[in-house]
Amino acid sequence: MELITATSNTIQTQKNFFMKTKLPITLLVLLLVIFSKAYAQKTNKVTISGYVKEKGSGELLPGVVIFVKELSTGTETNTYGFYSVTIPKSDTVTLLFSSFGYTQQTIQVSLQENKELNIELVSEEKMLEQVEIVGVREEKVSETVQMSSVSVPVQQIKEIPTLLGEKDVMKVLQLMPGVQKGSEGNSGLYVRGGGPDQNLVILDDATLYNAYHLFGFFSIFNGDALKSVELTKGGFPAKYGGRLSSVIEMTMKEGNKEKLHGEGGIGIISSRLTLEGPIIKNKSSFLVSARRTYIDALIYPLMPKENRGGYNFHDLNAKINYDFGRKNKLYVSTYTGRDKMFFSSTYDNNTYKGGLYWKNTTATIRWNHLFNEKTFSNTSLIYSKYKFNIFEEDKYNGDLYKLNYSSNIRDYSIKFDIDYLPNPAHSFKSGLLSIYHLFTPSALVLRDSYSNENIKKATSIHSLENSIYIQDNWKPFPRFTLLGGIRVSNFITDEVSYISPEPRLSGAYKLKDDLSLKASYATMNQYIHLLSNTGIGLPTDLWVPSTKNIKPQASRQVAAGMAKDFSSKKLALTIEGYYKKSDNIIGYKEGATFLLIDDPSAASQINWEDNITSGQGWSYGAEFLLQKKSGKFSGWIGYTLSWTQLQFDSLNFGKKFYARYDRRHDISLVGIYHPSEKITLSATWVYGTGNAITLPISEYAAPTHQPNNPPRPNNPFYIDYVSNYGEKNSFRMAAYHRLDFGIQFHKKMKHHERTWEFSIYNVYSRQNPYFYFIGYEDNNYSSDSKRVLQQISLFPIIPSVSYNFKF
Amino acid sequence: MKIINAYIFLALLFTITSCISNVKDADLPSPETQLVLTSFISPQDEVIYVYIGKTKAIYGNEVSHSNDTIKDATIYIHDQNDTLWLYYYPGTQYYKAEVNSFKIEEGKTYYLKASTTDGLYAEASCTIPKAYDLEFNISVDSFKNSYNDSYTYTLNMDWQDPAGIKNYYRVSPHLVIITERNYGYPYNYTSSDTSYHEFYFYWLENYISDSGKDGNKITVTNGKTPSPYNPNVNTYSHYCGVKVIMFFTDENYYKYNTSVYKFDGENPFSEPVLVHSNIKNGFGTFAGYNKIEKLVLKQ
Repeated sequence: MELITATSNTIQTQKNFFMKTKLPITLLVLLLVIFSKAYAQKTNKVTISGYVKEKGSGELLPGVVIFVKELSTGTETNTYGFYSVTIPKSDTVTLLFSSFGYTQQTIQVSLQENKELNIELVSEEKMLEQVEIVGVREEKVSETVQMSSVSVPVQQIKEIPTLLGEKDVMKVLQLMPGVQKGSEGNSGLYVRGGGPDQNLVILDDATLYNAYHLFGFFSIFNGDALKSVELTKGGFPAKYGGRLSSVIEMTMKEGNKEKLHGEGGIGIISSRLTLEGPIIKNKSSFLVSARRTYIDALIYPLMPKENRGGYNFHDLNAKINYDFGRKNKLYVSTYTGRDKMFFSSTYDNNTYKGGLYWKNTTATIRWNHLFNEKTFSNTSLIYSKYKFNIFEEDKYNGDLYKLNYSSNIRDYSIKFDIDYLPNPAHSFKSGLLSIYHLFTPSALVLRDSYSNENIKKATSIHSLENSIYIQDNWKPFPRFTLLGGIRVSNFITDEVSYISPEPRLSGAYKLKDDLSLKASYATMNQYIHLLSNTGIGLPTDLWVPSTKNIKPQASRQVAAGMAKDFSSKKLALTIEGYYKKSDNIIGYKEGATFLLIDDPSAASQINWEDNITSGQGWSYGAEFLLQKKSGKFSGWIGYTLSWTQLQFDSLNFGKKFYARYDRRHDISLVGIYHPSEKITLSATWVYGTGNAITLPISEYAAPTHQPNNPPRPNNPFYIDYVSNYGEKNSFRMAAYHRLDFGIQFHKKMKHHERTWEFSIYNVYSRQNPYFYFIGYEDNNYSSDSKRVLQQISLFPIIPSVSYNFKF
Repeated sequence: MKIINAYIFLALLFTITSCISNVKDADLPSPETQLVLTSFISPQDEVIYVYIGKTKAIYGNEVSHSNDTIKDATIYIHDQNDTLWLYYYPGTQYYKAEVNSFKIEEGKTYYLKASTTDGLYAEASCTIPKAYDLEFNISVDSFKNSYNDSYTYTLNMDWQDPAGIKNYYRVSPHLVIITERNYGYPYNYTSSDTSYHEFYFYWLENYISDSGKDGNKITVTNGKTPSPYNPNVNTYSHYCGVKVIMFFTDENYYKYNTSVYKFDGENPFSEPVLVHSNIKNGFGTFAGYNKIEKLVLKQ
């Protein structure tokens, strides 16, 4: 019997999709024309514009603050290092270019006509090699209107001690207030009460659907290939959308345009190597970065031939770019990473092999175009795919059983963004994004020569997610800045279409030079949902679209707070409070399971819509962050006080309950100290309230009505034993706390610089709970054994060593 | 499924570092003992049974399920006019009573009350739902199983949900087969007779709620006869119809039975199921149902 079910994407439907996208494009062009007209009057103003690069590598620098001293106004470079500032004609003005980790550059220019000014900033690291730094100007938190955002310097990621020495962007983000980890060692982020599925993780504009290796213990991001990492957890600018809780935007380095540069390391888990250099000097460059684990290769030969298994993962990042001149730049980047677990056994001429793998692939082509000195655009074509696959093959007495189960999501996107910078009081951004999602929640191929079963089954769902936005960073008064915008998002599938306006507004008022008050409001919508396993980061996650029954998830968030810079001490303090209400959030019905490894062929029969339910959530809390980004001693103190509650009609008898990752208190202390050029010391201490979980507290017999069975006079009902859990998530796991310590020894060799790193994870070997289960006293099982609650702790004190080099 | 081996392999890698410890008693929940009552009543039943038991704390107690039979409880069911006392049914954990003059009637509300000599008390109420004379559309198909030439019968059926009221159903369709036998099979029939068999259709969803489908057609699919029917070479069988036993149940009946059915305490990967209860001060359920039975003959 062969059964083939496939939902094909008809050409007609695709035509309809693209017809529908014409409207947003027309609107966008119309809006830009209006703005251009409004600001195109001839004035006595001139524009200075250009690119800011890193000296020595030609790497374009985003987020560089450009300050016009005489006018006390300024701007900053966009993601592609471009800036433009329009000011009145003047004899001379003083421009200050500053960015974290780079020495400030002061330039005096005479301004009688439009001017192109490209700047190269020297990195603080390079300056350290030469002279003591004077006048490094910190980016001030009190000067930006954006709140609830965190940028982590890539250098700090490399200095903070981690589990087994694997440097991990996500684990550093977990140390920030408002961001929590799920369970021990897990890289998943829980931002302001939202789940890991509510984070938009983007690498060079491409969405990554599963950003984790080894069941969540490590993230897929190789710090050596990254240029910048930015997390936004509230006050979202209109350019972001598609997820409820956060946006983690990462940009890959472009590759050194001037000379060949390499960086790598050998650790306990993996080794990595990054090479970058010019293809055509100062015109074109490349970057290739790879990482692979090797524990499988080491232990495989030691395993008995009849029973072998292993696990490995790898990452590969590559990027090339070409600079056509001031007006046009082209970037092509890709990422691919895969985890593979396999197992094989041979017995009596019968062989069995099986395993699973999961894989992310992204590719992005970006074209930067400068229309004029005030108008910059970027157009991206993006491909992203996530797939997991379970396979097994059993050859038994001449019969063959072969099974292949897979689930994947594929995205084809086009993204267009335009920046229009008419004057220092306004900075417009506008754009559109159209994503064609192709979901294959389950595909099964099964061949069984014994039962002559031959099944080929695939269900595909296609959908189109469109959005259009416009925002203005407006400075009506010197002390007051508003970032206002609107995003309109739309989701179309064969059966349903949703459209939602998403207003965004942030404001900052400067009370004093170094002190500002900020507030923000943002509405977000999420049209695609992640179905996962209960609290365990297995890769068997299914991404599914909104349907007629499963409405898009939505959230509204308000945040208010203050930002204060202590410039003389190089300290920045932010205190924020937030309140987030989410609707139509996804929950799993009681008894639901998405664990596919047990029986994937049965899993393909499950209708995922039957297993999920919609509800609402409330998250509120306060965050405190005192941060020192530079100097001999740097680091931060973060504290979060928060509450997260959920309510689903079909869960917990309809009553509100605390989310599993509701965390009343969360503390992070991070310190990095450079006593000399040759040594870096670092330590982190974290504390978090225990997770809220559901535990059985008592049990009882639960007779059920069995009218079909023959009547049994002595036992009219059928008796099952069930547990009483009390209310959902009413038990708190023990609190989590841990101290990590690391020391790095740097040494300059003839042709390269090497670093030995020694680190200790969980210095005082705290037994943090990972999982609870019911065990038996003295670990003896018999019918009269007493039951006890036992906890599994994963990692005691773990020392590690790694060797890193760069040239 | 041996892929689980791969997970075990990985779990073993972590067990190198992981450790297990007991959670201190002081940190554990300490629940009170409560009564457990369960009873299902309908106008069609002549005897009413009530199960009575107690909850048992998990931690610090032994694994075996206690059989602490409660023999001296006071249990009764009453409506506005009458009271039916139930008495301990020796050798079981049930109390029972024959209904006789105490009538269980459609639309009426009944109250169950129970107390024990150690001071535990619990109560609940239920209302008997209305039974409708439904028309069933039934389609039965069969296929031959290649490996032993047996037949599996499949069933799809639907009916019109009465609108404007919350309905809960429990449906039990049975395949009716007539077999003419030549010799020896089935063993329990005498020679040269015609036998009548009923096979219950499994695998279908038999607890059904009209939530979101009020007044619409309710469809039940994928019913399958349990073990493939293997007509002996010397018999001639033919299916002649489907007997449908339909229960119209109250909400508590539906929620309690489905939640116990879904309960899977052993599976750490599934969402915990909180078993439904309408017993005040206790657990279990007191639920009502009403029944119709129809034979739908093959056209």
